[in-house]
Amino acid sequence: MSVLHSLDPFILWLIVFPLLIGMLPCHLIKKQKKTPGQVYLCGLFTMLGIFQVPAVIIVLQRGHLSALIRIMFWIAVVLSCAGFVLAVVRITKTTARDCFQLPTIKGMSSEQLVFWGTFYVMLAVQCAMSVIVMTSDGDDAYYVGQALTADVTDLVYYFDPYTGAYSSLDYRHALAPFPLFIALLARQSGLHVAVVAHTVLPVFLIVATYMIYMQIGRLLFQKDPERIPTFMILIYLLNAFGVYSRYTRETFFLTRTWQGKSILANLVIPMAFLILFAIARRTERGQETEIYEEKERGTLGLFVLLLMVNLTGALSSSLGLLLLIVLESLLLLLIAIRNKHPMLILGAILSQIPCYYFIGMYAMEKIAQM
Amino acid sequence: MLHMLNEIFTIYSQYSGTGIIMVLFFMALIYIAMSEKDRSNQTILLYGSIVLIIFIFFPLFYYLYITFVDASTYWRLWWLVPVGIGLAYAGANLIREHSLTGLMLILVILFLGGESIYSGELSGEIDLAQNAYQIPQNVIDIVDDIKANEVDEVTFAAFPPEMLIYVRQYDATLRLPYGREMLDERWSVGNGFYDQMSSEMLDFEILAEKCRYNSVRFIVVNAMKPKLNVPQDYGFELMAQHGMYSIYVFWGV
Repeated sequence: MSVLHSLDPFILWLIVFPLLIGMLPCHLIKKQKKTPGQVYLCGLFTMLGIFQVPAVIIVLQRGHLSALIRIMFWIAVVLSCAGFVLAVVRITKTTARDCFQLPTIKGMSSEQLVFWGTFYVMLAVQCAMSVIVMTSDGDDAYYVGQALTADVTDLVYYFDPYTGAYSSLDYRHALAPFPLFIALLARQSGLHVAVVAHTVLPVFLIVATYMIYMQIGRLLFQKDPERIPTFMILIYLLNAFGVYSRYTRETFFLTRTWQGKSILANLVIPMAFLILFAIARRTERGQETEIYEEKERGTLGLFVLLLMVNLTGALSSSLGLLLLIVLESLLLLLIAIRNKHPMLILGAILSQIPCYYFIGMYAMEKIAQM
Repeated sequence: MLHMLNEIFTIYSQYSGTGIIMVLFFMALIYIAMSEKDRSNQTILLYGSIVLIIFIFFPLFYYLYITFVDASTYWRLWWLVPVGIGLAYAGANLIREHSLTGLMLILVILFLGGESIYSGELSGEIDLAQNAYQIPQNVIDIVDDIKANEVDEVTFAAFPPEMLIYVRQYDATLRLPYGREMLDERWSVGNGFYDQMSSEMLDFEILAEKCRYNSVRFIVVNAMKPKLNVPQDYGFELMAQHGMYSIYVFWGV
């Protein structure tokens, strides 16, 4: 019973808050019918992106974990209430069916049902494996050690996680404080940080990763959605057998799921791809599609979401910011040229402000040390 | 210029491993180029991938990256190339058009090209979890034992190299005279205590000196290692034995 009770904060922070907060960016994106997956992903990245701001402030002040948790809790509550009110207003103006597109098996062929069934069974196995299999990685001494030190001492980034000695602030890691989110979950649930990082959190992160790929599949196969389950099974197989070297995204996905660099590779970068796909679709010209009435509308909302994704990238890895700048600049320039939409370049620059800001902070600190 | 291109190719070959998955990805790009009609899919998957790959192989960017960032992380740029999405997209289309043959072909290539994440050969040490912490049980037992017998306000303990990454993941109140940084030659600055703890022959006379200097109350050593001298002669007392590891308490602090 107590184990079940300690799961409540995970349900709150990793399901309820993202679902409610997600209504806000979804409203900006102006999509008529939202799937729960879209709302959830928008909310998760908005919540994590916003978490980066107080987390970095507290880290730079060498403050307390409890203060960060208090601040973040009230931010999440206020945003969730706003999201809830927005959902109620929209549902009362129309109907729930007009606002949300709930998953259904109606109209699916038996082949599709078998493929979806296979995918969900394999996904359940992958989640179960993340619980019962232990992987050994040296970087855990930093990520989990930092989170546990913050949880135990209530002081953030004050001590060297390897030895416990007092240490000066290491900007490269301090500007990407994802371990503090693990510490938050541990403190709220009463579970040990290592249990949260290694056993509980990966299940949520694995599911969230596949939700992103499912949304990418919906965009790729807009005209032929029957191919989505096959796409998902192939994505699964590539993740399960993608260890063609120790450096691949897939290697990090299941062996270091909870580490910032894995979150960058497997959540942030695919989510950035999803948004770039959506921007490419919405700014396409001269071609009527099923979402014609939504074309052009909501592109600003997508850039707001991209800003949140960049903030989440900053939360997970300092180096990731450079990767995100490269990815978004090149692809948005490409989309701008192909779709004859020069304003996208301005959108790219504005949504990358967090990247420039945190890289600037890191660079200034480096120069100051010289 | 040429040597930089050579270095970028070396990084690519390290990243691509057997190379089969990447070859398959390039074939998928050719397939998308020939068959894709959707403009946005073309933009992101085909042209996007080409632009990103050209950028990664661009020597000037490589030069700037290794100068201002870190040469050892350049391979992470390959994370930006949508290998998985491109392969799965082409694969899903092929399977739809050529049904079972396509699926079988892709499965065979996947098994040959990649490696199961749980085989552990490339992905690191993988084992069944012994507890919910996913930390080796012997480390937990040893740390619990030390905590149950601590005598100082702040307990310092020294561990053998193979335990360094785990100890403070389980208990962050323990202080270590050296940590995981010793295991990576890029960060290690040399530490006499660590050198003694990791040497083939344990010299308790030197270990006593190191313990005294670092205020270390407990040391954990591999009991199988030969000892140059008798621990008890230098202020150590055997406190407990956990499998192949012995915990000594040092009374000379």
